[in-house]
Amino acid sequence: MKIDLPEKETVYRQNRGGLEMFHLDLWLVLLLLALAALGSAVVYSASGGDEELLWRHIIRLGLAFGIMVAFAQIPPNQIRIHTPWIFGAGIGMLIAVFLFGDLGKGAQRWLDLGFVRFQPSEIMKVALPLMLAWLFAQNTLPPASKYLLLGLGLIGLTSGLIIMQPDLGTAVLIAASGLFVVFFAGLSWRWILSAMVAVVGSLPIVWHFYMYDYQKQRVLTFLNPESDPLGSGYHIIQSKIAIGSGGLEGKGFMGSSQAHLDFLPESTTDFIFSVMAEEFGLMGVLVLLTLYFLVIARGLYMATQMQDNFARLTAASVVMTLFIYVFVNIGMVSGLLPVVGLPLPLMSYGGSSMVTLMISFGILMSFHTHKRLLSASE
Amino acid sequence: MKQTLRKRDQVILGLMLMVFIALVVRAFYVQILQADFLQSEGSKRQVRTMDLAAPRGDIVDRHGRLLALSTPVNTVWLDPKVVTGWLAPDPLRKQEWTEKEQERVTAYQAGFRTLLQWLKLSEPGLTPQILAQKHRRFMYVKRQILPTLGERIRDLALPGVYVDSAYKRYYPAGEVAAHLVGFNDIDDRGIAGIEKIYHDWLSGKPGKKQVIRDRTGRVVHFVKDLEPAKIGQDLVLSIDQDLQFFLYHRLKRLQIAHQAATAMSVILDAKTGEVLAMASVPGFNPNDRSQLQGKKLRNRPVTDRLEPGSTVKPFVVAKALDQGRIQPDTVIETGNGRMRVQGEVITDTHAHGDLTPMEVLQRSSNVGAAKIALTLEPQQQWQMYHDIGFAQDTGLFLPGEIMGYIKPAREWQSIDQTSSAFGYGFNINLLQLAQAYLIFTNQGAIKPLSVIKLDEPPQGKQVVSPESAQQVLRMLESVTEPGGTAPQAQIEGYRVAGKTGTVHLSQGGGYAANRYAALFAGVVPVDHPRFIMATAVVDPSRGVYYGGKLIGPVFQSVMSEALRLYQVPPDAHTRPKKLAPASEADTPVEEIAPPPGQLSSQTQEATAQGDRP
Repeated sequence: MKIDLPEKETVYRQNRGGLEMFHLDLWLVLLLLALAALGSAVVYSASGGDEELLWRHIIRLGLAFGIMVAFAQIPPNQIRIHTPWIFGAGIGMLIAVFLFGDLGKGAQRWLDLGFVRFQPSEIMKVALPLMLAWLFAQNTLPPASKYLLLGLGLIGLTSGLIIMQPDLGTAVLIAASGLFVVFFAGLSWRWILSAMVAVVGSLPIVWHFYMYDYQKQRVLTFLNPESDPLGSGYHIIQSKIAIGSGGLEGKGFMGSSQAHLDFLPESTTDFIFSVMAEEFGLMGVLVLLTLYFLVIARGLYMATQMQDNFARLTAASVVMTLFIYVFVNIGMVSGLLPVVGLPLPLMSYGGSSMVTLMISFGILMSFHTHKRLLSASE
Repeated sequence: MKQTLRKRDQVILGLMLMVFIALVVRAFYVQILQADFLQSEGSKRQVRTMDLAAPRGDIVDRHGRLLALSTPVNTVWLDPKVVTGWLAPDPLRKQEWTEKEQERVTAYQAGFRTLLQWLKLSEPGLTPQILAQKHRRFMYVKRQILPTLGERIRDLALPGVYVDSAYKRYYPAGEVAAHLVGFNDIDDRGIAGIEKIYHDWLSGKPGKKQVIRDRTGRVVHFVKDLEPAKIGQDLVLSIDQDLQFFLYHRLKRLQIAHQAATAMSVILDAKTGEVLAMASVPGFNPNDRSQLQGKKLRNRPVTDRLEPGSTVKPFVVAKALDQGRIQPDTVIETGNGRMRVQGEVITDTHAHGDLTPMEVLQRSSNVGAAKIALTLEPQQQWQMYHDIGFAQDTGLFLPGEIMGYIKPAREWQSIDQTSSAFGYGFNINLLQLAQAYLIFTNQGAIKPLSVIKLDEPPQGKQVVSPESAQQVLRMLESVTEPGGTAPQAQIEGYRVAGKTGTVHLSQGGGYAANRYAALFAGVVPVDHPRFIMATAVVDPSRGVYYGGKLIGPVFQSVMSEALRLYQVPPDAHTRPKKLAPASEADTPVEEIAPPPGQLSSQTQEATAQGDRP
């Protein structure tokens, strides 16, 4: 995928009117489609040419894109009005998980409503930033201390409930998405610094009293994967081998021996990047990172164009959350970060996290395309 | 306020750029700088070196016919840890299965049942064993299956179930040469016979091949041979398969016909000392050893002790001739067939009166043999037995070989001389007896034995003068002539020399009154000896127990076959004298001396070490 910058202006102008009727952002849609296409190809290869799996992936992508388009149609006002209710419902479901939740891989994360089975923590990925943006946008920015504390309290409550599932990775990410809102709301640097000190200072306490053994093990393994090459370190070592084996140009499509010989775990989901890196090499990695960078840059640009604080804060948080996902996943599989079990957005095979992501993009587009309308009415 | 936000956007944008740059740098580091290292790490995990089974060398007879060969077979083994994951999956994992995974597990379990069916194993039998060993990584399922079945099992492609190549020994000659050739255990290690003693020579050197394996260890691709498997060396035995076949079957018929406990025989090349055939009954089928019993395994010509009886009389005569103590025409007075030595009585069953040494051998007179023995010093007689290899290692290293027992020279007295002159009071194995007869076919020289085909005859060691040896051989010819003890051994057109023997079996510290072992050692043709055949039948229970009558016909038929096979020119130009006697009465029966009581204790001592059946 190559982006020709001079063309951008012309295409943008020509089609602006067209897609705007559907409240969509052309560039964002194109970039997301490009990522989805690349992702589908790699999923197909990583599964060893499983066509059934590929079709299921494509159907899910279609659904997710449909949901994005649907959410883009919702006027920002409606979203804003319903935000506290959505958030409240999310918290309710997190509590319900304790009472009726299903077990999966040793953690209680799933809620079965009879017709659909999903993870409530996914909802909070969107609901928490919305809620905080809603909270801070009610008043002047930067927020007063009491709102700030209330916001932090909501972050703590949400991530606390998710930690207890236990799902540390998701909890940290959701907390981060909330903290981005706080940050963009204008938290003073003094607060930020003292918070960072507090976090670093509390790490040993968290380590000793709040982390499960397998969580500790992941961190330890991350620090020294070779210490346990057949156990927990296995994932990271195999993943690095796959990425490294790609070299500059890669082994070619369907050429990932690490995935095909079954050495690479979770090759269609969390470790999809490794497969792509082995098959398309450093060149492929650069193309992928460029695509993500452009999505994020476009998203941030859209955030700066927002005309009210609720939209701006939500948009910035959503984009930053995507950024964190990309960074954490790629950092994890390439051995920069510990293994946290996070999919690569738009690339990995899998349903619920993709739906959440596309909802947030839908909201982003809704805010972006409805703003003229809003300003006109105001 | 606007200003703050812009500043924050810049900070975030800067941070983001830094992170992306960090990811690119990381990718560059892993994919370019560390690429070689990581690729080799990857290879280490996928590329494995595996052993290539090497076939063992063949064992062939002296004419290159196969006695033992290696045929490819397959071994099925499994990794209990992997298989357990499929057969009894972790219930926690089960919850997260997609429909497809569920299908795969069901298909696996069905495939596994098919596997067990093919291998004729029962599921309730094997599955608990696998589950009990689920932390281990290796377990044999079945070994030595046909390669075609192995191929089908490979095609099942069940993770954790593996098929390896191996070799299994096959013995075309079956039971005929089983005792000598021996056999291998399931790991293809020689554990009996030639297979055991020549194991290192026969076994090949496994080669190495490179393959790509997936995470479960299944071989996905073959890369290359690093080192071809080195086939073991072939071994050419001195055995003649035809002769061996013929001998074994005649022996078996003999054993059955006379309901003997055992029968054994050895055929030697009279010039080279090579073992041309060696057989024991009862035998066993080396290709199916499921019904194997220890007593059938014995290669009796080397593992069983025998008192040789009258078959040793020729050696006493040869030594006395060699030492000039008697002449071919010396008259030996046997009188009424009774003789007293150191208080013990030696008897002949008939009174023979005066006999020449030839007649002593022909009629097998115990008194005559004793008298000839007494012309020698005790030590001279002992030395003779020693020189011809009695109670000594044959040097063949065949498993289970016993040397036998003979009293030390310094303890020998007159009574030892006389009783040993007709083969009591010491014991040897049949192979030693056959070897001893080499002195009559090699101008008085003894030769080492060999089970391996020789390129040239080995050097002999002179024991008696060529003349004495030649004289005794001529005398032994009379044994198969009318008036001798074994006219049944005559072969039309050939001159046959031989000596019969019949001994009482030792039993409970003494000798059994009516249980015998019959022996016969023969040489043919007398003119230019080609074969020596020594045979023993232990405990025949149908009333016939004389060496001549029992073994003579076997000797006759086996040697006729041998002479024909080797196209040996006849040496008897006249139509042979009257062949087999018209009636039993014409055949002089040999003397069976109940050995002197004094000797029985010694013999018992000696024979107690062996386990005579």
